[in-house]
Amino acid sequence: MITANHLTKKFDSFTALNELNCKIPEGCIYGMVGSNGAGKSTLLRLISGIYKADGGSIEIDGKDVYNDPEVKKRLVFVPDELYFLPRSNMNRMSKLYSSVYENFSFDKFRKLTETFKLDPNANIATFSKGMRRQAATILALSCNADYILFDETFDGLDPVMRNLVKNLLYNDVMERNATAVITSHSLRELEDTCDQLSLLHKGGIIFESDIGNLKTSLFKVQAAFPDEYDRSRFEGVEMLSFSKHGSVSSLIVRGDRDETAARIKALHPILFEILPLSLEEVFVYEMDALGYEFSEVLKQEVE
Amino acid sequence: MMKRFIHKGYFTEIFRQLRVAGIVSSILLMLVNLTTFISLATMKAANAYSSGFNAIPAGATLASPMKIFVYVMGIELTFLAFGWMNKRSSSDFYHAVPVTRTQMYWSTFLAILAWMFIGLTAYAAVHALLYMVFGAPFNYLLFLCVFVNMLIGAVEVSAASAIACAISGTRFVNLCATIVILFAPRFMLTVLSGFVDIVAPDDTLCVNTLSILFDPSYNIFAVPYSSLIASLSSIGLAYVDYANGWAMLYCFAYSCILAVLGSLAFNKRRSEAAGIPTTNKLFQGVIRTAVGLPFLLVLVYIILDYGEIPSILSLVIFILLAFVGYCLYELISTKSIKKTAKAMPLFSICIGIAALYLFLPYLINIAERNINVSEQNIKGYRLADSDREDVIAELLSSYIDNDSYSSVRSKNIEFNDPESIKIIAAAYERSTTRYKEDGNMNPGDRQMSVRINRKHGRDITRNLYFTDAEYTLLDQLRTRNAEYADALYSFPKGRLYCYCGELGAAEMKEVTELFREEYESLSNYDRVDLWRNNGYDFESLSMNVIGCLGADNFFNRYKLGEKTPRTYRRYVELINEKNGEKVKEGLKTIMGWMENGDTDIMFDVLIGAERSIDRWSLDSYYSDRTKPLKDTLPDVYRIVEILYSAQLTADTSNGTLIKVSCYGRGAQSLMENLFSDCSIMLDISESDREFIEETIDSLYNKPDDVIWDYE
Repeated sequence: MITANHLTKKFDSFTALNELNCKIPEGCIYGMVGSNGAGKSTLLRLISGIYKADGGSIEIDGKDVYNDPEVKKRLVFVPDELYFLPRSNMNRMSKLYSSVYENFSFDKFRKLTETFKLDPNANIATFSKGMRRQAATILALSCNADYILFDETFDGLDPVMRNLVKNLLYNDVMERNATAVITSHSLRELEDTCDQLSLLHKGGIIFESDIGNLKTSLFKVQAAFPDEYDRSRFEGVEMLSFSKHGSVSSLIVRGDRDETAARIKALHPILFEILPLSLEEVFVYEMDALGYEFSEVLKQEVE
Repeated sequence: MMKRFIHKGYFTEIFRQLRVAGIVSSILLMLVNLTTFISLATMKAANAYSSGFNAIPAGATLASPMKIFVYVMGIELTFLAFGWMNKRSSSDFYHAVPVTRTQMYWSTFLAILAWMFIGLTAYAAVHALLYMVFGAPFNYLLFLCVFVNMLIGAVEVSAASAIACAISGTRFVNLCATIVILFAPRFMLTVLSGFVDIVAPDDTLCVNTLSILFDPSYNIFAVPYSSLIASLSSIGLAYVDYANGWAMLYCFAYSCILAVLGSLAFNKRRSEAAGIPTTNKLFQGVIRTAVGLPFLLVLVYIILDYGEIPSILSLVIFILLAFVGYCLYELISTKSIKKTAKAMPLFSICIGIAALYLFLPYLINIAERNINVSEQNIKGYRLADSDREDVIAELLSSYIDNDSYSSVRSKNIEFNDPESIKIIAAAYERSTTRYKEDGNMNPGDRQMSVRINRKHGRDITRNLYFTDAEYTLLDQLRTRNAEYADALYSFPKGRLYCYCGELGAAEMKEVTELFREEYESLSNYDRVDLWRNNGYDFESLSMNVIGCLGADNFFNRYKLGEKTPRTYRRYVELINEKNGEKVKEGLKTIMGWMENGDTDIMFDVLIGAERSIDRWSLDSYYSDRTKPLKDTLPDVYRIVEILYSAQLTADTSNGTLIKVSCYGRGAQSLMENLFSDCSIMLDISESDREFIEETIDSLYNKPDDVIWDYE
């Protein structure tokens, strides 16, 4: 498990992370979403031991990561800005990785290069942006690390490749109980990939939840009554939002779906419907409930 | 333990990354061996008609190519290996790999050193092998010392570059920082030693022997500029003793300290520093100070040299220049007025250092003056080797070794007889006090550098002034020491290479044996007279002996003349036999040119020891080329005619030795049968000799100007 306690990182006068707390359990795909400058990349660099925290701690299974190769062995990081040796090909890079990552599997490397249809002998400098990201992903996955950290993973990948990478990630998580931490500024990108999701804003996690729970615990209810009514009609239902157009009202409800349905049906509505919410809608309402303007927190998303 | 510092996989990886640079640089270094091969092969081919090998490569010569390799590759390989720190993507990558910072640093450092070791070893092995194969004179022990010095230098240069990489974040600043780390400390010490010399009341101090900090041998890779400082302060600092074991130990310890500092700086380095010129405040301060300080040091130099404080205006200008330079650097590098303003008070550090440089030279001089060198405190003395400065060798990498066999053998002999000690004490007293009284030494005084071994306190080296009587007596007293006497009087022993300019190897063997026989039959006085104070003397030809004792090379030039008549005669017979026809042919060519007018034939003819005719001089004095020289200068033509018609002789007491060079200019240089520096002895009548002397003297009208003086 990755645990961050009051994690703080500053760059001169700019505070990138401010007293951040989070727990990333093993065997899950953990997504981090936030606008540019929210602190996602900084957090990943702290988790991977690249940066040293200015305050607080970042631990993996109770051990400090920074400058501890035993812990770092269990991690592999694919950053947003990729690095390859000058004039190298993938075979050369695999040698570099294998020299420092004990669990590097050349078999897996070969299989993955075939899967992605990349030429391991071609100069990486001739690769397109997407191919370079594929190459980095192949190398990272071949390390067989317990924790795989991806920064802006799907940046530059076409939809087919995105699905391929996602499937490979699922396999790694399922087969080896690996943990993947993925960042993106796009919520939609992570929606169907992650088990858990956190929202970073101005150096802190303002919201963190299991995606399954998030989607099931927050839902939209549409109901209509023959008589005049207001929100007091729904007393006892935890509403994040209430709107009424004519006789039809829309509610965003947090709670148990069956229990809520039973409670509203007991009021004998002439129309009753429970609708699922998209992850983005869930976030909009949750942010709103927390007092944040969603469009401010995820500028890119809205734009 | 090893695993704590070296990560095998990481070492292999960095070694692999450096392989292109390592192999290319090793090949380039090896190309130097190709030139050595060509040079040795040429000399070997020339061995039939000249001695060919006529020098043992000096330390500076041996070191030069390797030194350049160490400088260039030490910096380049280190920048390549640690260059990832300058870019964010690569910095993040390497900071994420599961290797400790300590392992990462030392594995990289070892990989750099491994390539340098490979390059240097391959070069050195082939170099030594070439000399061995060609049977050329070579000092293997000296070469080994040079090689060890180069390995130590590799550690030093790489460590300095590694520190630079760890404390700065761009390639340009990396390079600047490397230069500062590598050279600045020794440069500051050299400047200080120069200032000590400037304020010394007399020239008895041998400044570079005062401390290992002032001795360039103690940090070979930090002193390429020392000759510049030497020219400022009149002290010779360029001499580097590659065989000084203590200096090697010092350099090694110093290099290790730099390497450890590099490790500490690397461990402290953060990934986010990539691309930022300087992240280290201390280093920023050092550079800032280094920019401002030179102006203040020039001011200090002026004050010390003139012995008075310059005008207020000059003071203000220099201080202002220093301050502006100081602030400007800070402003340009930080682009922050706030930071510049914050750094301003720290300019006082520059002032403080300058003040230290103003007073410290005086304090050092006072301390040196207070050293007790009384007769009671002197245990003995040795002849110092301060005259062994091969500055030119260092600068031009030429084959120069000035030490004689006796000076090499006697350098560690200590003389401790009471009479000598008394003279040394008196000379010390007089040398350090008379200057104050008379302002100068007596014109007849003779200077000698001695290393004084004191009963209490460290050894000191001083240039002392002796009266002629003292000097002679001291010389005689030294000869009572059997070891010294043997060094002084005996013909060199060991592996020797003897040559006389124009003899081939086989002929030389015969002449050497003959010379040795005659030499050993001479009195001690005559033996010494044959080689001591022996400049180039044409009439009495010389036989050169080179060899090595331990790591030291020596060179003795013995006169061939009336003291060794058999050798001299045999030598003349051999050169007459060898050159007679060729030289006559040459003289005929010269006569042809004089008769027919201007061609591209160049020549010079050295007649006896003091007179010559050569085309350069004739061209410059008599430039009317419309007429043949025979008509313009019939007497000169007559001289050549006399020489051409004179008979060869081996009568060394009456013959006249001439040396002729006849070579082409432009297209003519491709002509065959041209030659240079070929000597023969001719039988020239007394009257012809007089005619030659008078003609040449009147021709140039300034005989002093045309004397061939090789000294």
